[in-house]
Amino acid sequence: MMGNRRVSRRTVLRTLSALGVAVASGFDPVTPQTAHAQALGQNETVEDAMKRLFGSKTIKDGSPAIKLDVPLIAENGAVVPVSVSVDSPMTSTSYVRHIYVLADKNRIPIVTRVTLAPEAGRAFMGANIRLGETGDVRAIVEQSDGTLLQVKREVKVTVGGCGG
Amino acid sequence: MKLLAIAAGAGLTPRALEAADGPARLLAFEPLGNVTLLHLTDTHGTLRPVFYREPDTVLGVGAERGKAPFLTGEALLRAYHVAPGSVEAYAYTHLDFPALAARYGRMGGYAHLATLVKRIRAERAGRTLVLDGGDTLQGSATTLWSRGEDMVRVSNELGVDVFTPHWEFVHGLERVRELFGDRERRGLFAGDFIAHNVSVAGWGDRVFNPYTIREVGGVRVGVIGQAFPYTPVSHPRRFVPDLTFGIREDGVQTLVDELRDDKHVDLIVLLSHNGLAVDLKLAGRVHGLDVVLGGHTHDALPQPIQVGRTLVVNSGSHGKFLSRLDLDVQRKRVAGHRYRLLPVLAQALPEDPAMTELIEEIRRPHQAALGERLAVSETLLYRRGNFNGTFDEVILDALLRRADAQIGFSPGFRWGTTILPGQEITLEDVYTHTAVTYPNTWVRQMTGGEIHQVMEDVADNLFHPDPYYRQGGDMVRLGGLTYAIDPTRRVGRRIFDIRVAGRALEPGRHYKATGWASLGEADGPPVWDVVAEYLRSVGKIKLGTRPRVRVVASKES
Repeated sequence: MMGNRRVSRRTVLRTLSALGVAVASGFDPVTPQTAHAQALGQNETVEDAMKRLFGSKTIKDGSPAIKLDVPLIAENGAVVPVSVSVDSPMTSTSYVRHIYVLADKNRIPIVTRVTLAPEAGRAFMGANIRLGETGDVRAIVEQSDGTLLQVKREVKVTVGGCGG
Repeated sequence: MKLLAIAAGAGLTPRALEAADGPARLLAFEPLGNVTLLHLTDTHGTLRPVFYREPDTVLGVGAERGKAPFLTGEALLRAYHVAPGSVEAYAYTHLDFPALAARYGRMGGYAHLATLVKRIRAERAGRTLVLDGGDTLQGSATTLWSRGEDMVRVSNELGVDVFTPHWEFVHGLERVRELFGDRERRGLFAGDFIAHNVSVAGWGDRVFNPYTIREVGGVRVGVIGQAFPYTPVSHPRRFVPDLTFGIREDGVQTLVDELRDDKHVDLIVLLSHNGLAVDLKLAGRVHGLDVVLGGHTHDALPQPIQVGRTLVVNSGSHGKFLSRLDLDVQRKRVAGHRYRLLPVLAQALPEDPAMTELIEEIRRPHQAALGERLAVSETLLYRRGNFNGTFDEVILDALLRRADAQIGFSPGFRWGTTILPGQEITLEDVYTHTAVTYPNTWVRQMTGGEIHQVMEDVADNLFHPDPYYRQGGDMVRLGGLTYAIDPTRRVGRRIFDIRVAGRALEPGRHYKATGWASLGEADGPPVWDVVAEYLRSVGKIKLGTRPRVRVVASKES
């Protein structure tokens, strides 16, 4: 079903370069796993995005270690502050390599991936993200040994109005 | 037997009860311990005594169903052993409201409240704290026109020591600063205004003091202020453009620890505008809170709900009640407590002269205009309840007629007083149902799909299974259509069988819709003008039965 959507990274890089888009730090091309980038501007479901990023690797519950700080109800869907901190060693042998933030209901669910090195000292990232509608926001952590951990939380984007 | 159960709760002996089965019984309270907390909340600008009918329908979902505070009418009477027809039944429920209202009269009013507060202060000199949970500066013409000042003046006269806000912010942050001060300076308010969860977006700096420490009865009492967490999505953003709110459970825990460990406080109170279901969840997740004094959801909770070691209190609305919580605090622990939700029955409490004078001064310039008699109602008119109230129906009728629209929207506010059958509706009554700082009406085309989506969105703000996601008030009031709702379903699937003038709502079709209190910009005439004009023109209100909403409760989770 998704075969025709899958594009090899090389194809994407070529496309990007043809469009004059520099490959910046966000998606570094030396990621070890078999990631498949999506075609430019193409929407996908979060399931497709996860499969593309992580293949069939098991993702464990990260709730003891990962703290995902995001409002339960967005005060403004266009600017939703999110931060992720991971209780993890940051040594050359054991550290958090990536923190991904995904928004399940966004047309392009992969919001960001942050690459960390042991020198960072702590596994933390913060960003303002945009949420089109109510849905889960996930933080997925990839450790240096390849282990994947995830936490998620519903963020409501409401038309608002009150009672009280 | 039933009376005895209540009397026992209030520390009254059976003999005292026999001696005083009149108004005195209502207020009897045998003092206990070293601290008395007096709590009022959500008075909504109600200077003078009013009728306020408690809801007939307040639905809980999941494990909440059928438990306080999701109890109304007969179920509530049974749960709290209240005799039908008693003054408590009148105060706590909607049952037989017109008859009981005629018997027991109006409730609340700051002059009557002041008498009660002064009495208790005299009895418990040096041991009393008065705390106001907010929604005080909204809900009347005089507080709208004085931009909240009248209520700050009466709160000072009442001797309110501590305050936390919600609707106060609809006067804008600058006005809140003038009236209540901030971290640097004081305002007109004589007590302490606290709100730990209001900060500047981006920087995270708190705008107000997060807590205050007061010593009463030899006890150091730390009070943390929890403002309404969802203020920016509940009202137009323009009033608080740069502020961020939120429940901030972690923040509460940090402050509790700071108060206990660094400030050596003996008793920790959360003065909250979260709403009761949120407070119950929070009390189960934050350690070290002794008492939560809550508001927002207007629950007249006859007894505190105990969550672990935390007592969660809710004190109704409109000045109908004053909560009295006596505590015996020994070695930083609550060794004993006694509570009563005191009904402020106007006929049982004389007016306090100083407060009466102040209220008259506030009202004098407006009295003639506000006293205008617009119409007589043959129907009991009220708003409170999960779904359309009868006063909402009148507002919707007025909106629909003026706009010649098919569908009307009116917000599910919990405030708004009650008109008894045969009573005149004055201009003042119209304001008690409409006095907001964003009153403009709107008219526009909406598709059936949009209408359905708005209904689902609002229903989710009321019936989300996790109370932390409940931002809203009651369900939006709809005119021109009927619908069925299953609160136990998930968002997008709760509302069904929507019918416009008897015909199924078509998702793709356009309908002419109208409403008021928009969060965006609206430029139609203010709703109070529309409603007042309508009432003047009809002269008499008589509503037939309107089967507007069908509530279906499935077991789907």
